[in-house]
Amino acid sequence: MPLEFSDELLSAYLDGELAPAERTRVESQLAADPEARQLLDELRAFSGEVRDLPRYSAGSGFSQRVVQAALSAKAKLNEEVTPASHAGMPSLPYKVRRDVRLPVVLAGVAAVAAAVAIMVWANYPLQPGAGPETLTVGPGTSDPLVVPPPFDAAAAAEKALARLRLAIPQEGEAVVLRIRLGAGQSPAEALDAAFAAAGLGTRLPTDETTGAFSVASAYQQKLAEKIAGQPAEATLAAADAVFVACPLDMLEKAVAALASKPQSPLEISPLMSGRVVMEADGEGEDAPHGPPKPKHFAQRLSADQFRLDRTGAPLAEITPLPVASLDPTKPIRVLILVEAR
Amino acid sequence: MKSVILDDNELIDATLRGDSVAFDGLVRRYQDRLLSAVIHVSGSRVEAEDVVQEAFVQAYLKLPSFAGGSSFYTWLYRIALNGAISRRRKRRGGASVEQARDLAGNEPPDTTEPPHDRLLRHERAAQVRLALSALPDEFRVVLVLREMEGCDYDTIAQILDLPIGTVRSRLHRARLQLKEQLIAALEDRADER
Repeated sequence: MPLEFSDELLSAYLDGELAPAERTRVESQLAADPEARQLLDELRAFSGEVRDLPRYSAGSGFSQRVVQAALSAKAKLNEEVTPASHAGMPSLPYKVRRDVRLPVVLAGVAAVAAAVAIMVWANYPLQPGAGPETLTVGPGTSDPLVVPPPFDAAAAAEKALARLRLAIPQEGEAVVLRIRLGAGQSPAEALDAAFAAAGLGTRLPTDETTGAFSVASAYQQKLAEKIAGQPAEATLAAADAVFVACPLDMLEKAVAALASKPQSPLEISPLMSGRVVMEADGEGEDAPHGPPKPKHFAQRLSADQFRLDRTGAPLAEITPLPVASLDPTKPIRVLILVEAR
Repeated sequence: MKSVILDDNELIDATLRGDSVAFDGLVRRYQDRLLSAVIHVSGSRVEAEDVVQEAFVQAYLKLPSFAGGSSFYTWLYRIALNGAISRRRKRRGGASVEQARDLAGNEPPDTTEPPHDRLLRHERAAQVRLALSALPDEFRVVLVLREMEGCDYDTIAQILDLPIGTVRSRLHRARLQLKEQLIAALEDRADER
């Protein structure tokens, strides 16, 4: 009795997973049935697209973190099982949680961050480390005998918000938040936590923000060029860029969350000239006359598009932008660039 | 000096003797492949890194009881994929912050590719990721294991602890759903233009 044909056999045929009798059955069906041939072609094509999705690298420090977390977990397990036998032993410095990553300094990150500063902010002197407004207190000192002063998260957040409010963009402008994180901190994680704190969702770049996506890609590509020879994961670990459009209160929550982490000096830079980011639909941004803007585009970033306050300048020395009538419900457009050090 | 590449069983034996360098070798051997697979299952790089780290930690803790009935690879993947699906279900309905940037903005840049081509490729890859992400978990997992990991049906069945017939059925249904999603996405884009 001949085998019955079902579409399901086509997938298995595609994968070379059929028994000889089934394969013969499918091939005779394909010879006689154009619809079956078309379905097979479609399955092959769409499966190929999944196969072609990018692969990701775990990064150079990942295995060390994993091993450390595993050793720590085992030590903790042993402590729970036989606490007496471990009395007096020093506790391990890591926990099996995401924050295990924070103390780990990825090779090359400091050099990468320096390269970025030179690339984008070449005209502006940058003072790495503490300044009057940088937030450098908190854990992380290498000397175990030095007890760091307690980190005042509320004060740090308030300072950051004060800078943010000075940088509120005018009509047609965007604000650039440049955030330099403490050693070993992950830009992507910091942004995720900040957005989660603000209840701020993001969209895939193909929705409406292809322009912003292009800018972010250009930023990362520039970064990669500057650190040629470094592993790709160093680039990805070193910086992140994301475009945000949201009301002021949500933005404030996100910025407060970013500033509330110890060792996260926050630098906020208002953009004064040019339009860095345009949404793909172009509504409200195209000039009233002239050719329509392309739906998808990339825009270069250059230092002269930015007016940056000097690192660590006291708030009183920063000239506020005139904010004539800020509508609290109107989305503020922000390009956030985060760098690890 | 001639270097010697140890196989999984040798690394496992050394790990069980307390050699953490051997365990580091196991992690390095599988970390990238596992992370890629879990990212495409979970839809979030940050979450995937946590899941993969936790899977390795669990594997390390349970290594003494690893019977070797299956390969270390299948055992590790089972732990990680169960973790990924479990987390995804817990956060279902939550924010999608990670999905946008993790998977779209963090790809290694290809400096040799013309910008326009890169944009088109990114756009298409984003559509495929969206379509993949919209599949039910049980379909997405088999598709990732088959297409991205190149697993045969028998290996998928071992990892997911399923009969081979179920793997075959799910894979086909996953492909049909993916096809529908991608055709719909293409039609949407055509309408926009």
